[in-house]
Amino acid sequence: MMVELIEKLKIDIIEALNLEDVKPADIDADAPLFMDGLSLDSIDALELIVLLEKKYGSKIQTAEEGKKILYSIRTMADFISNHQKNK
Amino acid sequence: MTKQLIISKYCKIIDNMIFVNGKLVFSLKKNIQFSTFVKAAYRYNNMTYPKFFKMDNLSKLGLITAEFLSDEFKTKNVLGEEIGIILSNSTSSLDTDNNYQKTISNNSDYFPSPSLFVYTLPNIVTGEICIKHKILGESVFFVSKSFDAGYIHTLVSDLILNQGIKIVLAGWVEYLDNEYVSSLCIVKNISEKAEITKEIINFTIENLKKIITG
Repeated sequence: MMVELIEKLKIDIIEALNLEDVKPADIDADAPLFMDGLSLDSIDALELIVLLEKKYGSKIQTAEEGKKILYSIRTMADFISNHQKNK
Repeated sequence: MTKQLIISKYCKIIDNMIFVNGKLVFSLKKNIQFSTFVKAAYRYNNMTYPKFFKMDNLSKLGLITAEFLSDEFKTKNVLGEEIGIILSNSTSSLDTDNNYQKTISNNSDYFPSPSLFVYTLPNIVTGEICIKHKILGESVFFVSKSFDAGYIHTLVSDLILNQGIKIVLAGWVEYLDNEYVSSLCIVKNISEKAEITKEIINFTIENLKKIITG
């Protein structure tokens, strides 16, 4: 279940952020999304927030919470999973 | 010392064709979508600039056109502060404005796109070119019904003759609904031209108009 969610999330992120030449297999689910890893920027962070809400119905409530949730693909998947369980 | 301004290089992109100094250097079939064409042009230039793919179409068009002229920026004795950009078009950023508006037009599907919003100004294309080529001089984007060669000529001349700018990238970059044209040229003092060839295009209003709109 979590593996499937992570794979789907990778595909959605590649599409939403126009990550040309990046394939799901290239993305380490535990690597930081910002600074290292995919080298995303602040606009990408905003797009990820929109993606979580639009595609997964999961809304980040605070900036502090956002930092932890958007750390990696896995932390995003955990957030979605927990959010869906608590629905 | 008297300065003689010249148009040292120019590039036009229209109908999936790229012309440099009037010669066709790259093309795809006319019916191919701009997104495919511009990606192929990126590959043709051997560019490694992932940010390109996050840009809106106007910025992609301007950036690719500037790329074909970029060897003119890479002059050893010219600093980033000594390069300026003056661009214009008639539809501003309307193409991206429309795309952004679609993300906020439906109350039940209201998800404003941050990555589209940041491109809802036409001068973002000048910024993207400046970032890519480390250009730090004067930059401006005008919106006018048609290319005003006289006005642009006055501005470019003033930058080079009075404001300490040595090279200006000037022209027209327009994109709306998969219809586009981009026509840019490099203006500099003849002494800045690395190689004096027989063919010199003097920077006159007539020549500027002919090159940009011809």
